[in-house]
Amino acid sequence: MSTDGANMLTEAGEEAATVIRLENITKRFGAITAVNDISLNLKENEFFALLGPSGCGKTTLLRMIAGFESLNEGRILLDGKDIAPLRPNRRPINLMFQSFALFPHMSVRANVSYGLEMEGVRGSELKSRVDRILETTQLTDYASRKPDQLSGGQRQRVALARALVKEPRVLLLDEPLAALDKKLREHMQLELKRLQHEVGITFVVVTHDQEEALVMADRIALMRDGEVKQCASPAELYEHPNSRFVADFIGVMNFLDGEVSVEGVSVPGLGVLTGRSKGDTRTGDRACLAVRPERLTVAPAAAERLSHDNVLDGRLTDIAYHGQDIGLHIAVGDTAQILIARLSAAAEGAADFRVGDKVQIGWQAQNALILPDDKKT
Amino acid sequence: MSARIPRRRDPAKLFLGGHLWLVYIFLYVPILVLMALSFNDLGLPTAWGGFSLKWYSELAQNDAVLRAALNTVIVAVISTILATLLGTLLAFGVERRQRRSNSMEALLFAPMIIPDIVLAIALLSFFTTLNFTLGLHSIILSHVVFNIAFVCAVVRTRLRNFDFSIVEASIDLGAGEVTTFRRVTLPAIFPGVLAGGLLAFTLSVDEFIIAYFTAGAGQGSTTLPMQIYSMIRFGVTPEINAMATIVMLVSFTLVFISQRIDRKAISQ
Repeated sequence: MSTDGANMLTEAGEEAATVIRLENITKRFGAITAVNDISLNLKENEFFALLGPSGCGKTTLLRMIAGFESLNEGRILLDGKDIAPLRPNRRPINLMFQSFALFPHMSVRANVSYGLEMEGVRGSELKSRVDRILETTQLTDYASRKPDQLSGGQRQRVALARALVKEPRVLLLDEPLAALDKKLREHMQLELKRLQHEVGITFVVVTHDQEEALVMADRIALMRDGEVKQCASPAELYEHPNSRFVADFIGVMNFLDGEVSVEGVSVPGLGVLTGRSKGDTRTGDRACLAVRPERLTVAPAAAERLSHDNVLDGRLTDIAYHGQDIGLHIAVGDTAQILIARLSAAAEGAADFRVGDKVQIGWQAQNALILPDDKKT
Repeated sequence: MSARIPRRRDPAKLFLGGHLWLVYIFLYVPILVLMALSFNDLGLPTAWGGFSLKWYSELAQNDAVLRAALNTVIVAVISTILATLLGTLLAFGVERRQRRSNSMEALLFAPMIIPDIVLAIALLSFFTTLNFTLGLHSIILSHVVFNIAFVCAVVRTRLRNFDFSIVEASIDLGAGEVTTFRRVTLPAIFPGVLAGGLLAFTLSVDEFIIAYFTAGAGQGSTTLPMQIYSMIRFGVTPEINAMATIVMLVSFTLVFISQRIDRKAISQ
């Protein structure tokens, strides 16, 4: 299961060369399996995200690539060669720490120069390479400052510059934006992406923030309990999640639990509802119908009957105003299950809805997914 | 613009303030008197005969005192170096331990808390049990024992705010273990190590009881506090006042420096 995504994408994206190949990696801490049989291909010049809830093993995986954790099973291949015997200081891979880990007693310039000095780079070459990266990260004016004289965003850029100046094959970033406030975080998401394009180095970022991963990454591996649940592009992950967990973790999703029937999913109290199936469910299985809030069409009950493949009647219980769009919470069926619909605040009639209104909700079968039930027991 | 609000005289505050000053006077007047008497041309504590440095020059010609002073410096320097090294390593070990136990922590502080006389007797019987010859080296070892605890305590305050990921960052950037310690770990904790070392030095210079017990019978291992003690048996001479003044100034300077460094370290 965990290798499906990786294999699928190897076939799909053969034009990009693989930089790092993880083969059946397993890591155990005592009785706990932190990483369980993970295989992934990280490609040249790619922005890759390891996404998952805390404790899913994503940071452990990152630290294994960096060389700070050993493997129990499996191999890590860099350009086809096993890097297991190489200590972290001998790997052409750099890690940006969550705390940034800047050397507090050194200036920005000394921090950035450190890694090159360790390679034996001296004199004018050292100076020009450091100058270049300071310029790229817009730190030239702060070169002589100490880390405690910098803001959070500046410190983050120093940590980036310090790792990038070594021109590693791969840059690993452990929760790079977690220490920043919301506004700066959004700015830095795009900044990181721009930087990655500019330097042309493979970035592997660990994050628990799905929005961050969607904005930044070319590909995302979504992890849970030490396994990769799905590895795909952000759009693929959002539109075609392969399991209930993935559908739930990425964005907002409405779930209607039921049993697979010939035409769709038979939901108690709501009848048979239709959606797309990937063929991984059989008639009689427990399953759910998943549909995104923005795929739901809402109209007043008094209006003309909606022509969608599925139409339900409900009552508006709550309206959440988000500025650019509106979230409508609608209770449907005998169990009064809440479905959330999102419509643009600019849409016609969007401002006319009132709590308590009787409404009808509709969606096309192609916009809903039938997913096997993988709820954790 | 800002109108000054007249400060209300709170009798409780007045009392506390007065009390504070009384304590300071009680503590420092004897010391100030001693310092003044060391410059008294007359050798008497009862009358002032004019300012003079003659007791200092006499002190400089007293071979026994000079030898004792040299011994003290030897003991203090060597025991400080050893204690700083071991205490720093100990602090690292304790801070990096995953499981903390309170009894282990208490054991670390024991040499700071046990009365000196108890530690002195314990060390003396330990050395004699081992048939260890006593002398400067046994004083040095004894001073290392209690100084480790002080150095460890000071360095640990520094380590508490130490981000251990900078050690990994250094290795990640291509440095080996030794280079990492020399260029990253040590400089980052150096203020704490220096403060601990200065404290150890001061304690070693002043220490009397443990040195007295572990010095052995020979004259060769007399330290300055022991020399003062033996001189005082024939009465307090202005020479002793002069020596006490010097020792005090040295101690005071070192403590002052170590506190300044420590405060800077903490404010970082």
